[in-house]
Amino acid sequence: MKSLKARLGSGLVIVLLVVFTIQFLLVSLAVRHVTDNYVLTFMARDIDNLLADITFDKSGQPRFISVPDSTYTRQLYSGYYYLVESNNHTLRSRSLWDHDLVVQAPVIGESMAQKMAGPLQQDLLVLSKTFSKQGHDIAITVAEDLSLVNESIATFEKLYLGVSIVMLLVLLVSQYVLINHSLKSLTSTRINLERLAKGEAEKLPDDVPSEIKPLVDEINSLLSLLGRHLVKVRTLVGNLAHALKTPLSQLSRLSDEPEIARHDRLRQELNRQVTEIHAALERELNRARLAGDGKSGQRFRPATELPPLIHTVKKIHNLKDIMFTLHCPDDVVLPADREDMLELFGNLLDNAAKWCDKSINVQINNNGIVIEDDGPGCPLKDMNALIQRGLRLDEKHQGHGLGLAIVGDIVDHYRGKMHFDNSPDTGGLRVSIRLYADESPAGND
Amino acid sequence: MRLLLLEDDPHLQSELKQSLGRAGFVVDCCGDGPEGEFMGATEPYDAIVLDLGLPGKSGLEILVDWRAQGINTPVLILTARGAWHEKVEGFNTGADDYLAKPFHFEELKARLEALIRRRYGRAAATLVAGDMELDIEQQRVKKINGESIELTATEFRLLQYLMHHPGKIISKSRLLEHAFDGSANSEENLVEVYIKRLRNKIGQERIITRRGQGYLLRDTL
Repeated sequence: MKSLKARLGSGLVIVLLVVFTIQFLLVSLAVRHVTDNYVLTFMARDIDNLLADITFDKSGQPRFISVPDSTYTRQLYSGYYYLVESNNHTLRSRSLWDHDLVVQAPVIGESMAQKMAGPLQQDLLVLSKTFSKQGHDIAITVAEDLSLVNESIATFEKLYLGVSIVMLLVLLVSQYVLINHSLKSLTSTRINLERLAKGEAEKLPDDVPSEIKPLVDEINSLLSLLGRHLVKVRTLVGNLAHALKTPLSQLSRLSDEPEIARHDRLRQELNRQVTEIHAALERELNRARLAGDGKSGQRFRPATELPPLIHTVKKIHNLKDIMFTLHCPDDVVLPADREDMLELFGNLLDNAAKWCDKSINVQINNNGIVIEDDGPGCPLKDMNALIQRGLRLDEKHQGHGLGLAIVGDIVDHYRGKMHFDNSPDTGGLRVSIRLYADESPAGND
Repeated sequence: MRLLLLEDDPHLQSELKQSLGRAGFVVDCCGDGPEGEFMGATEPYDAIVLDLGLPGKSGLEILVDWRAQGINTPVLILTARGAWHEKVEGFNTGADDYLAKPFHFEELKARLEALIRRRYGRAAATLVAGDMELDIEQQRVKKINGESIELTATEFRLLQYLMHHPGKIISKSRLLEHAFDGSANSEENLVEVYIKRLRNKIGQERIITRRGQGYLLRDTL
């Protein structure tokens, strides 16, 4: 996958280079063309002047009536030359000295311009014209050294090249800035997506360019669909639970009826089946209730959510006076659904409250969750049973195994790891949990 | 002890009323939200058992309104909604206890008794006055000397209420409300009859009559 920035950038650089090169060549060519034409008009006038000044003697030899302009005579290789040819006679400007201008005369009435090297490496522009005057054919050629003009054109070209390069650079830089700026909204969307994934945002901000707005809208509507779906599932599950549990309650009550209480086997069987149904119901309903993978805008702040839960557990176990200690930095955020986490902590604390003597210690940080009580702990051989959840370890504490089974389901759902051992401090059961154990470390989520 | 049971399932309602009655409670039942709210707000119950899924008005809304009106009767929420976030919400709303269905009746009974004990400032699980202890399971009085006195259901409820408020004057009308089933012929001389029977069983000197005011159970002899 190639980045948009690289694609836009390289395309733009190539287009700009081609445009600037073509433009530079065109401008240079135009300048030379205009200069040459300009000089040629003067040279044509010079030819006319020379022609007017020429006459023929009796033998048909051409000669000047007056001395030609001093530019042609004053200085050797002055850069201004003429050559008049007629009837095999030649008039040369003095400035030409011994240099031969080899020019093919054009047909009468025609003119011919050309460039050639002159004496002293002069760049000559040569204009030849053939006339018929007083019955004689006469070819007049004037030449002018363009070295100086060419030099100044070259200077102009250098300057123009410099200016072009600077402009090219300015354009490239401004395009880069422009691309970066335009793509910034993409970058911010990407950052927002990451925040969404971390559970720091609930939806994507929709103040984005129209090009990616449909994408952002689609993601947002999927998120809200997911949220609505979750609410719907939970409501349905809640209704189902409500519908099933009241009859279950009555079934359970039946076992207290004197008629049934008299038949102990019947009563025990009834109780056992009701408990089984209840356990299966609770566990499956809980699984159905579990939210997404915690990666769709969900966050749980233990520091604010746990105190009310601890209050609840205390009230439910009001026959015991339990001391809860909660160690949790304010900034710890678990990327998980609130209801799932309340279920997880509720079951763990409830279990700890059943077993503890008088104190329960909860520690949460970025490395995980540790809950320990000061109860009798758990013999090593029962640890395995605890891990193979769903086993009721103590019939006196009803639903003991169920709570931990639900915790296990939640931990699995959040791709976590759960570990049981006995606390070295209190000797009670210690449960250690890490959510998203496959991503390390948890705190950088 | 007088209870209000707000439960919309008629079977569970009648079963619970029977069981709670056997356990020594006077139970008023209601299966409708607004009506139940009115009963809870106007009658002096010792505790209320509240189902959350009531027709007309949800249990949580009723609880919010009671607490807003300053009605502090202990409320035990009895519901099928047993998720922890729902329990947290229940307690945050002002519930005093929460029991999820399905439940064992023994647990409901124990929780209700604990609620009422706490309400009247008694921490101990047993009701004791002087050398008497009320055996709630057997509905009889045990004395320190090992003597045991059998009580009828009404005598038990009457003594239980008095023992919850030892050393305090309790009016006849209050005793009528808390210890007598509303369906019975509720007249104040009925209270006098039962007080007289109770005195015959546990001793004349234990219950003192304050003329025009009511009765008082001496907690020491």
